[in-house]
Amino acid sequence: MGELKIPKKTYQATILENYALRLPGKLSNYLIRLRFDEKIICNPGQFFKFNVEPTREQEKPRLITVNEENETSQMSDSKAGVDFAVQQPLIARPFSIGHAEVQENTTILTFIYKIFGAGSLHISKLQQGETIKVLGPLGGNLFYLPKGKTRAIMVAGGVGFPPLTFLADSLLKKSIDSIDLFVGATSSLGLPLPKNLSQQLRSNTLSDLSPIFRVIADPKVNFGIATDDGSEGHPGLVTDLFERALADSDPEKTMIYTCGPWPMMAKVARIAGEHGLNCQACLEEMMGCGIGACQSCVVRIKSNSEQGWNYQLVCRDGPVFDADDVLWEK
Amino acid sequence: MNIDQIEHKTEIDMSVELAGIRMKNPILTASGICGYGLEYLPYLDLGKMGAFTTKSITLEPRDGNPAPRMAETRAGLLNSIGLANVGVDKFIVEKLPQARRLDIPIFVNVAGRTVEEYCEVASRLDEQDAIAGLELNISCPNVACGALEFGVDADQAGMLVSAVRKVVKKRKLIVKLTPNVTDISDLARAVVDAGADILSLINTLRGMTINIENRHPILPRGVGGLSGPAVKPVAVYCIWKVYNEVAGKQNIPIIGIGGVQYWSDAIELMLAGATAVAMGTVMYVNPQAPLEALVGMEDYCRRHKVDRIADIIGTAEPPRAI
Repeated sequence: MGELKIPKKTYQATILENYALRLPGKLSNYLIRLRFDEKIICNPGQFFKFNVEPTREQEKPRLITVNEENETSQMSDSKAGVDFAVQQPLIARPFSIGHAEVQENTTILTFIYKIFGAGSLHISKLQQGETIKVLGPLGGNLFYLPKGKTRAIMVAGGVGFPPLTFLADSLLKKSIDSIDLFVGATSSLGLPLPKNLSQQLRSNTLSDLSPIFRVIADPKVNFGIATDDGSEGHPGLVTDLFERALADSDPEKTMIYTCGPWPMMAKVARIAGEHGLNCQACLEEMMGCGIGACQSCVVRIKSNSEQGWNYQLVCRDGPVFDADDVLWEK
Repeated sequence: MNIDQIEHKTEIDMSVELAGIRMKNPILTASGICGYGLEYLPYLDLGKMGAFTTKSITLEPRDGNPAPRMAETRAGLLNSIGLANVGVDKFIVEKLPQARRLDIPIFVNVAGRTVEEYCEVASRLDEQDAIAGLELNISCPNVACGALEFGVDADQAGMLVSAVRKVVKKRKLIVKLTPNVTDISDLARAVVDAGADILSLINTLRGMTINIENRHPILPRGVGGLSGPAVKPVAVYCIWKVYNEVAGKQNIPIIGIGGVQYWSDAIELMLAGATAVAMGTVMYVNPQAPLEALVGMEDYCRRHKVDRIADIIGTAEPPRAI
């Protein structure tokens, strides 16, 4: 497993686009593309932390000017201020990289996120052309394709999708015979996909698709959708698609990758184990620093200690773990 | 002004002295935030800070509490890490030699369950030349057999500090105080009388947050320690009170801690009586915050015609109604 040696730092990135993939609101996923004015090498599984502080002008403490402001503007500001105070987030939020376009002097990264709380709500309101401070790429242990594996099956739930599109894109550029890419959500609204995806796939107008989705149309990729309520794709769980695909799998050559809600990943890990298949899971936990200092984002990883496990950090020791090593019972 | 220009602007003397320990500027990291020192190096030039404080070190390694260990609240952060650390032996062998390369004063935070445990850890660390001072954590809200018990009772705190003082012969002794008490000056007086060289305050405030949908407290132990901008007024008041009632009179320096996010917050804590100011939670917001704060603090001195930043310590005017 590759340990990271590239320098990581803080960037001021420009927002190229930031929009709701389906209906704007809590259920939808949002897509944000950031442009960096330098080359940043990124690998599948890595993530960035997004600074959610107020923008620069607001951030400067206004101890001197506060009395100079006229009353009208204070009135209107204070109304906005109430909402803002209620929502103002603090700690930078981590998001997995979904797609990377890396050139000599520019890097464009795509992320998909869901409005989960004050931080992601703040990000969803940022406009094209604005800048955001980000920290990354972060992550210590990443996805990799073990020697001899020629087929990958990827099982994603909701916003667990982007790290797997990034992985699929990267594996297609190397050597892989086929990829099964499955994504599930509770309903159509919650799918991390554009609303007109099926039309675009049918009419073959891929250039209209955001780059993150183009892997879906690759001839080597077998793409599948599942929704719990049957509003799009297979009516049922994404793990149904996974089990179906396993029917003709060769354990020697097949590799499983998963990212999504914990119970879904636990099920994927269990099924993979029953079939003797290797599986890597990209995990998530409440994170403070993102760089291995604060000891917040712990998961239980099997070890030969007395209790049979040790805490490891998602940010530094992961976010990708061998599914066999994870203590899935919570 | 650019951060890189700090060192070229020499007209303001940003250095402060903390019980004989010279800091090139008043900003340091709060305990628990920056691990053992090296984690933040790719993101922040720690060598430009005034000093560095490690996370809590205990006699034995500790796993810490189950996840989630953090929950963000309005303008604040609740944490329940549970003193996860590698233990004193591994710290001395593996972590300290690396932290030493920072070439700034290193303070090592010490925690324990019993007086004996504190003394054992403290005496081992006292032998380490790389360390400038030991900070006694007598106020962690996140462990069951609580260090907090020492921190809330003046007699217990005095007894613990006297015992540790006997084994800490070479290093400065800092005692970190909790605001979770009726009168923080009583605690300050007790630990200063028992031999503390420096006081640091405040530790986190005990707090709790509940998921209203499933009605479970979000942190597994229920209680957590509240930090971040929400606690800054508590810090300002505690520092002001301890400075005026105890520390200022006895010439005991204070490391001010609590919700410092910007340069203006750091200045405020110094006016209240802090000689140095530690930054914590904000590091998870913006790792560059300490260096950005230093730029603003220098500007403040320039605007207020202050040549040495040390001259502003404890210079807050008395409240108007007193």
